[in-house]
Amino acid sequence: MKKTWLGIISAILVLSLVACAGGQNSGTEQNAGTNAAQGSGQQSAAPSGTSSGVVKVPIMMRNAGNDSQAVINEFMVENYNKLYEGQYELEVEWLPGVAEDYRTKLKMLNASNDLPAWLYDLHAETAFAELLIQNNRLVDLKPHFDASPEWQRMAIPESVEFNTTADGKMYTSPAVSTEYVGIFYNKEHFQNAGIASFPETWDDFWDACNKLKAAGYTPLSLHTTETGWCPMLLGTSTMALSDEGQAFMNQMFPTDFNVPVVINMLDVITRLFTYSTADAVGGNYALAANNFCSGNTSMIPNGPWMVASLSDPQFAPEGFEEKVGYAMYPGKTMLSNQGKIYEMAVSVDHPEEVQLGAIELVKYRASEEFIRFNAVHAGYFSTVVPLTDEDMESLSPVMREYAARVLEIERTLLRYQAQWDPLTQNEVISTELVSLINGTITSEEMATKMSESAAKFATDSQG
Amino acid sequence: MSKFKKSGKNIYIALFLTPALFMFILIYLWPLCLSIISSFTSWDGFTSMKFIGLRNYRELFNDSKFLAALWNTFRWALAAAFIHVPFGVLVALILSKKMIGWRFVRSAFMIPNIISQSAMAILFTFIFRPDAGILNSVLRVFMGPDFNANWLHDSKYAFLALTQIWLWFAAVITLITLSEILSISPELYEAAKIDGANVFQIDIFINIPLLRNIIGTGVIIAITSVFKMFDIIYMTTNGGPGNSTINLAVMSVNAIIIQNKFGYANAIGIFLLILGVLVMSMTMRGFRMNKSAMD
Repeated sequence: MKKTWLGIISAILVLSLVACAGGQNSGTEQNAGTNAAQGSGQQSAAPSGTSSGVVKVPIMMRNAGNDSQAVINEFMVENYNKLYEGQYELEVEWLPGVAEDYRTKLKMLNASNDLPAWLYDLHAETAFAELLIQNNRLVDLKPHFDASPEWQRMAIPESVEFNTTADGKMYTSPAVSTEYVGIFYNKEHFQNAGIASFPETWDDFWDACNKLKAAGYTPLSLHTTETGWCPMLLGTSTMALSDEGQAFMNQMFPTDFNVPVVINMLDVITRLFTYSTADAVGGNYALAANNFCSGNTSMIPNGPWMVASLSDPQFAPEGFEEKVGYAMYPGKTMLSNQGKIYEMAVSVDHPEEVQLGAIELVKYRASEEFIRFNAVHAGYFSTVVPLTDEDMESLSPVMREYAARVLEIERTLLRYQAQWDPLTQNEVISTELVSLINGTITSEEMATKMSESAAKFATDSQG
Repeated sequence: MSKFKKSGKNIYIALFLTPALFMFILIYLWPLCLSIISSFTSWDGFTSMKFIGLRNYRELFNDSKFLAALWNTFRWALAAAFIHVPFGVLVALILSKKMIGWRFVRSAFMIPNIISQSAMAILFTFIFRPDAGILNSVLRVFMGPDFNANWLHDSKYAFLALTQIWLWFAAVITLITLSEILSISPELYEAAKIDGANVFQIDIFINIPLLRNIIGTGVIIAITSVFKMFDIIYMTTNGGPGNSTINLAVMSVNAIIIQNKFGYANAIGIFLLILGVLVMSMTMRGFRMNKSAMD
C-alpha cells in the first residue's frame, strides 16, 4: 500500500516536471521562430517584447517631487499610447524619487546593459551622456531626424548642432523648446516688508533681504545637498553680469575654478545663507521647496517646472499660488541652456522594434501637441509653436508672470549643472558647501578644492 | 564493510553539501573573484576591463578622502569595541539578574535594532534638525532660546552625532551575551556565594571570564558592522561636511555612482575585506577564542 502511494506521488512529480519542461520547450521554439522571422527581415506577428502584435516599450520615469514631472509624464504616456494604439505601448516603471534618483538608477542599469529603451533628463549628467555616446550605448537618431521634416521644423538649430557629433551622428535628440530659470517670491511677504517690486540690482536684492528679515520673514529657501541646486542657481547668476563670468560658464568641464568670478560667486552664496533657514545647511531641495510652499520663506530660486506644485494640495495650502510671483535674478538675468544640452536618447539594449517605438516617443515629444502642453505646464517655450490666446488663458497666474519675464530678459547664462564635471558637483559642492557656509573653509579654499576635483575628473576621463 | 559504510556516508555528505557549495560559489565566490580581478583594472562599466596592475591601490593611498575614510573607520571601530560592545554586555549582565520587568526591558531594547538602518537615519535626521529637532528643542530649555547647533552638518559635531545613531543600540550583543550567561552552570554561582562573593564579584570573576569567547564574537560582529555601515551615513551626511563622516563603504559606492570607477570601487572593497579579515584574526587571537573559556 505504502509502495503504491509512493509510486503515485513519484509519477505525479515526474509528470509535473515533464510538463514544465514541455512548456519551456514550446516557449523556446516560439522564440526561435520569432528570431528566424526577424533574421530574414520579415515582420513577425508577435516579435519579442510584444503581445498580440503590440510592441511594448519599457521606459522608466519619475512621478514624485515638487515639480510638473508627474503631470507632463502622465500626459505623455496617455497620449502616446492612444496615438500608437495597436502598434506600440509604453511600459512604464514609475520611480518614486527625485531627478537624482532617476539618474543614479540609470547608471546602475547601464552597468548591466539593461537601460530603459528611452532615456531623458540627461542634461544634468553631461559627462554620463558623453560616456554613453562614446561607448555606442545609444541609437543614432540622425536617419530618423532627416526623414522627419516636422521634427526638423520643431528642433532648435543650435541644439541640432550641439547634439550632432563630429562624424555627423545624432545620439541625443535636439531640444525643441527651452526654459528659463529665475526665482519665485512671495508677494505677500514683499508687500508686508514694504518692498514694491522685485529688486533689479544686487544692492537692492540685499536691501530687500534685510527688509524681509526686519519684517520677521526668512528671506530665502536654500539647501546644500544635491549639488546645492537652489543656492548655486542664484550664486552663479552673478556671473552673467561680466564677460569673464559668461566666458567661464561657456566652458564645458572647466578645470580652473580659482578665478575671481567663482570666488565672488562663492562669497555671494555664503552671504545668501545668512538669509536662509537654520535647516538649509545640510537640507535638501525638497525641504527648501517645502519651506517656501508653506510660507516659511519668501523666495526660492527655481525653474518654471515648480509652478505645478504651487497649486497642488500635496505641497502647498489652498490659494498659495495667488501669493506667488516670478522674477528674474538681479541684473535682469535668467539661466538657460537654450538647447545646448543633452536631453533624450534611445538605448541599444532592446530589439530594433522596441528602439523604433522609443524613437517614435522622441518624435512625439517634438510634436505640436506635446510642445504646447509642456509650455503651459512646465514653462518650456518654443519659437516654432507660439502660445495661442487660448493657451495664454489656460496659463496659471505664476506661469503668465514667468512668460512675461522671459520677454524682458537682458542676460542669459548657461546652467552649471550641464557645464561642470560630476565630481566637482557631487563630491565637492555637495559636501564642502556646508564647510564654506560654516566658515570652516574660505571661498578661495573651496575654489581650490573644485579645481582639484575638476583636474582629477579630467585625468580620470583620459584613462 | 565499515569502509564501505564510511564511503557511502561521504557520498551522502557530498550530495547534501553540493547545493550549498554551488550557491556559495555562485553568490559569494564568483563575485568575490570578479571584484578581486576588477580591482586591478580600469573599468568604467562601459568598456571591458583594462589591466592596470596596482594603480588603483596606489591611487587609493594617495587619495586624501581614502585616508580620511580610513581614519573615521578606525575611530568607529574603537567606539564599537570599547563602548558599543561593553554597553551591550553590561545590559546583558543587568538583565541576567532577572529583576522585575527584565523580559519587557529585553524586548524594548531590541526594538531599535529591528528598525531598518535607513529608517533610523531618517528618524535621527529629525531629532538632530537644527530648527525644530527634538534635541535642540530640549537643549534650548537649558541653554536659552538662541541655542542652535547643526549636529549633522557642522564639522564640529557631525562625527559624534552620527556615531550616536548606532552606538547605543547593542541589542544583538546583549542577546548573545545573555544567552551565554544563562547557559553558565548555576553550581559555579552557588560555590561563589558559599565563598562569600557578592553580585559584583560574581560578574567580575565568574561571568566576564566565562564570556570571553562571546565577547570576542560580539567585537567581531560590531567592528565588521562598522566597516559595512552605509545606509546611516549615506542618508544623513553622505560623508560630509568635507570628509568628516566618510567611510570606505560610502566612498566605494560614490566612486561608482559619481565617477563610474568600478575598478577603483572594487579596490576599496578588497581593502575593506582584508581589513575585516585582519581585525577578525586579531580579535580571535586577543580573546583566545580558539580556546575553551574554562582554559
